[in-house]
Amino acid sequence: MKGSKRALLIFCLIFLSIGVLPVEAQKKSKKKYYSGSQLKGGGPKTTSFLSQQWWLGFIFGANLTDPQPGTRYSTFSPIVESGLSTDKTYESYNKIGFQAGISFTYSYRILSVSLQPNYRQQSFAYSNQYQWIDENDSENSVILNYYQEQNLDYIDFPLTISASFLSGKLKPFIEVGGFYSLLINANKEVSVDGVDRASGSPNPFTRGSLSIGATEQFTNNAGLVGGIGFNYDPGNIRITFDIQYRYGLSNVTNTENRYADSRLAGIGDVLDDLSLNNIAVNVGVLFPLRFLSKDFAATE
Amino acid sequence: MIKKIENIFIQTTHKIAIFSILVVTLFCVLSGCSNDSDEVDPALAFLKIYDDARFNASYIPLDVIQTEDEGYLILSGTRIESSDFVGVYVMKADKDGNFISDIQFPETVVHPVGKWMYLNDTYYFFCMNASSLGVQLYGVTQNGNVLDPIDINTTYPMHASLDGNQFLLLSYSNNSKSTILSLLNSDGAMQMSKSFTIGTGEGIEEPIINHFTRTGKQYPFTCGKSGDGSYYFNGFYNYTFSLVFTDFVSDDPTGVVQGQQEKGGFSALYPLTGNIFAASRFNFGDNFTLPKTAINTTGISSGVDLGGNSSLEWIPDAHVGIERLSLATQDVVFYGSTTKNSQIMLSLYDTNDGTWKGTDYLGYLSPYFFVSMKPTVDKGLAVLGLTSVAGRFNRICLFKLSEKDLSEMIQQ
Repeated sequence: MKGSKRALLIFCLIFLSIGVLPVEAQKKSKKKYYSGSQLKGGGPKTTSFLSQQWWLGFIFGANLTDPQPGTRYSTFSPIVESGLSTDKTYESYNKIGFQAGISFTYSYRILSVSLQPNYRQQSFAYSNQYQWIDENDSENSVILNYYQEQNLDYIDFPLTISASFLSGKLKPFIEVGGFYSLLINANKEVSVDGVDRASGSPNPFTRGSLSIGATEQFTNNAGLVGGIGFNYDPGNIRITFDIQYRYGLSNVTNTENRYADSRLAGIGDVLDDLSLNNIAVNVGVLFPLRFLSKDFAATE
Repeated sequence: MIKKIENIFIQTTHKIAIFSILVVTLFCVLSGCSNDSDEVDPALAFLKIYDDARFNASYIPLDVIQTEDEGYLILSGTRIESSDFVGVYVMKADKDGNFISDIQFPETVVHPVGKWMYLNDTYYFFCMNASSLGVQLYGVTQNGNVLDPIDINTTYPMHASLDGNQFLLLSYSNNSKSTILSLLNSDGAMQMSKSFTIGTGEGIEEPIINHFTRTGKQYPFTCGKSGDGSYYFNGFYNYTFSLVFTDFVSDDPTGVVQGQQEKGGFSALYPLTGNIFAASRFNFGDNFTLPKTAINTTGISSGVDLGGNSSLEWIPDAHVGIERLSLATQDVVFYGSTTKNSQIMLSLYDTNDGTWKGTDYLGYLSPYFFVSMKPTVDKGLAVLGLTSVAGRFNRICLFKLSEKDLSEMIQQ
């Protein structure tokens, strides 16, 4: 959890910066902030009303996952080693997942709090290689390759706070927050193949593949999220685009069930302790809930 | 007016900054909660395959025992060049099942016989001198040192078990063509011994020799003491693979449960109480379980008459192990064997009435063969097996099942 504490400290500092720096900058620049209604000639009584807004809409996007192993586990415990590690080789950011959900956003002046419950699929893969060599003739060898792909389905609850610093239709923002993801389903696809060089010439072989439900092998996920993006307000809707980086703080492996599935354990697959970092791109369309009268536009 | 807006802005942003910190803290706490499963002890449940990168290495696991440090000691045979018999290999794993060390015995020592016997802080097993074919008793201490062997005045060890602080040894004499049951004290000195003829005639000992050289069927030789105090052995007697009872006084058996020549008999026995056993039979390839059966320890009877539940999934004449465990909710006997599609199959039965309570399978894709099992101190079960990695290399494997795993096997 040492890394988690460090991350917590960093994010706290960022939040404090968000709270203080704009104020200090505003003090120095003496820049006036007006709501959209005032710009449209609305009276002072409407300022407080128009400075806040509720938004409801849809978001969707794609993501890439970077699995971060903690304590390593393997079913293989070498008596005599081949020189190859039993550690898995993880692939980073090469399996595309996707997410789609709804967004509830409350905006108050430059700041917004957003809850975006969504269905989220994250995928990642890893591989192992084992080798056996004839002591008397090193040409005689057998290589066995395992390739495992995981697809995790979550109901994801990210809560973010964003700050945008510009006015106008296009408003860049930065966001920070956290997420908690409830695992609803997980699947693994395992394929095993190899090359037998002991049968006269290299003989590639396949030991088969297995697609299997692995929900019990994984558990919920939680972590911190930070990102950048922009809101575009062309009229009575808001189009939002952001890129988020998710820093996983929890172990997504269900350690109690690490060896519980005899099919997975039996083919030599056992999960390491894992946290998942993730990069996600989101696009959303939001609708204002408070300005839907003919007198006011959706923009501030 | 602007001053007022600034004040509102400052107050608002500070509130939101504090709120943000709370949100981040919340998610950190949530993530901490979701890591509760990190507390699970990896020693509770695991599968380990003890791989050897050498192409020609091959192992024949025989038995496992949990040591005082909660690690595991595994007794195995290995193929050696200089003898028709298998060599002796002992391996130590830690409590998480990870390989720690091993001992490859010299090739003058062959044919190790399960099972491990724990006596006076030492783990004992019997094996055979490759030249004299005499039985030897070896001990391995807690720290992995091998004690000097004790020569036993008999040949061809078949099986051994503990009777209190004495060893009960089943062996074979090819001079007298007899099965010998011996009681030895903790120093290996012979206390009592009785010989039982296997019969006479050409070829009568062929299945026994083929068993020793591992060129034929592996017979489920065993010996022990029943709940009513009778000593017994499962082996060849009077032309038949039989369960033989003796009091070490009479030269003749006190009781015999006959099999079907070398084609049928008991494949495993676990004494429960009195003359009640949990047992299994093989008969011309078929297998039967008898989770609670009364066996006549006197007179002559036939094993076939005991019937039993057909175990259709098991391989023909399956190797079977039986262990008794007291789970949180139930006292059960576990049967371990190998299925026709090469998985290890565990079945459990209620000790009180012998009813089936559940089944589980271990292993997948690669073939897995059951060897033996032992209860562990955490009320789990260690299951020793043989697997063929990549479908080619015979390697020792060890499954550890937690008490929770075992309890979940029980069908409500």
